[in-house]
Amino acid sequence: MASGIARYQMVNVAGAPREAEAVAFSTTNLYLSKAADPTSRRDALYRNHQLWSLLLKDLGMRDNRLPAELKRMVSDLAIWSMNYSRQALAQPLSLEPLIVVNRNIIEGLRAAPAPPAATGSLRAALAV
Amino acid sequence: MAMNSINTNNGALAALASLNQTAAALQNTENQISTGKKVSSASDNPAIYAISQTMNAQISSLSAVQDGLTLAGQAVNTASSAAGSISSVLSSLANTVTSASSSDANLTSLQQNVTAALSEITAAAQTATFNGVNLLVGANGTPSGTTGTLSVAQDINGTQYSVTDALTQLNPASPATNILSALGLSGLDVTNSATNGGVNFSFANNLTASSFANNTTLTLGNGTNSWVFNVINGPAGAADTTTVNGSTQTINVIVNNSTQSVDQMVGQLASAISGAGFAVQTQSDGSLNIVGNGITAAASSSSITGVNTPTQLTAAQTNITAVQTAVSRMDQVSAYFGAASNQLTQMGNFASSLSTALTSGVGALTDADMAAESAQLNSLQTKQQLAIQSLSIANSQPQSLLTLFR
Repeated sequence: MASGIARYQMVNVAGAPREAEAVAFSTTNLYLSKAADPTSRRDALYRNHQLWSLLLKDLGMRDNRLPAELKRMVSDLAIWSMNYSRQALAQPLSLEPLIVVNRNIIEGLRAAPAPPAATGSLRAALAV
Repeated sequence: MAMNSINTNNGALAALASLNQTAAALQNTENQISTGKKVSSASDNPAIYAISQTMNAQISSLSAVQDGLTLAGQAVNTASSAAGSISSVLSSLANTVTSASSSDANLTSLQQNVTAALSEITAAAQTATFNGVNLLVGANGTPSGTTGTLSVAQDINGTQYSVTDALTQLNPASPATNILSALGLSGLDVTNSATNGGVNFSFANNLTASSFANNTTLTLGNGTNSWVFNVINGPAGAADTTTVNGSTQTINVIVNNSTQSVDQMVGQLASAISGAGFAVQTQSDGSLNIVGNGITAAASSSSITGVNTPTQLTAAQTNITAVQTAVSRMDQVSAYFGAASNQLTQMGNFASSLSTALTSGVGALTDADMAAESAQLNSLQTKQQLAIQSLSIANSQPQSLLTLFR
């Protein structure tokens, strides 16, 4: 999908890793939501499986620095998503659960961090 | 363009070799994963837990196995869907050729249906390609350059699991090059009232086990070529042999007339005839319709006592026999792919279970057998935690991330 590559290449991977990952998930969701006929459904399920498989691989790496709790949750999600994708190949399961999980990941990656609290000196300055 | 080629996943296979030791250790410690139970805390099985703590990069090998199995599953499902479509067309075709046997049939119009059906079957088979693999017609699929070879690593030892394409399933000794030939439907023509090549062999009351004596034969011929099915009494389970001498093929059919029943030996003879490329259908009166290669009653015979002189089938009987045989051949192909699909799913589930056990750096081996609702809840919690950091794939494997977009 040319637009997918184009979107990905527009993202500054090194400078904006979270956005790059969000784009990966949102492109996968695009394929999943457009999967009308058997061929595109199979293709979408494989892409989803590959994405989560990539993530699971990464979590297993010695130098993966995600906090333990997050690592556990994401591993569970990866295994669930890969299993569900495989089952959905052979049975007419809804793809919605896969899409919803991916969407939550996207929203997490795109959430802006909370703004820092106003510093004491600025408050003091405004009170003048 | 192939994404990850199933057949050249050598990197994964090399990495898998290093997991042999782990496999032995896991099995020796009464691997709870292989019995389907999940290990939910270190106290459940300290040995597995301890092993898992050191399995870091090796989880990537299991992911590669899962990727390969999923790709293989898709190739099989593609073939399975196409086989289902072909079976539906064959059902309609069976109705069409049966209609053609009634005296007031409009044969020209019915032949248009036949031609359309044959085209549909050919197209369905040729386009059943996934990622360069066509499990119906092998190298004869579209786009060009397809292969019928599918072989994938099924476990951490790199043991290969292979799936055979339909053309090879249907004629292992010498596969046809297109699906119509393999199904025996090439040139199906309901307007041709000249006999299309089919005979009927019926049986008399004096057919007994001892009729199947050494070197008694059943011969099929078309005036140019002959197929001689030669009865030989031999050990049970011995394979039938085929020799070719000019225009005559001799197929030795090994039976045991002191231990096998008449029905069993007739069945074996029918199988040998079918294996030689003919369509064989047992009729309700127990006789055999045999179709293919333009055979004629005049050039066919049998020296087996109790096998009557063959009669020529009408064109309609020939066509019906051919289509009935195609239907059962396609059913066999579908059953094979169904079984392959189930096996691939099971292998994938096992690899996934093992993967769960080996996930490293995880505080405890949790039960990953979640329902969709639990997955959603988990993903909401994950969303919260992702607010301040990335998943890190982009940093550690930017090129891998890019391949997801091809």
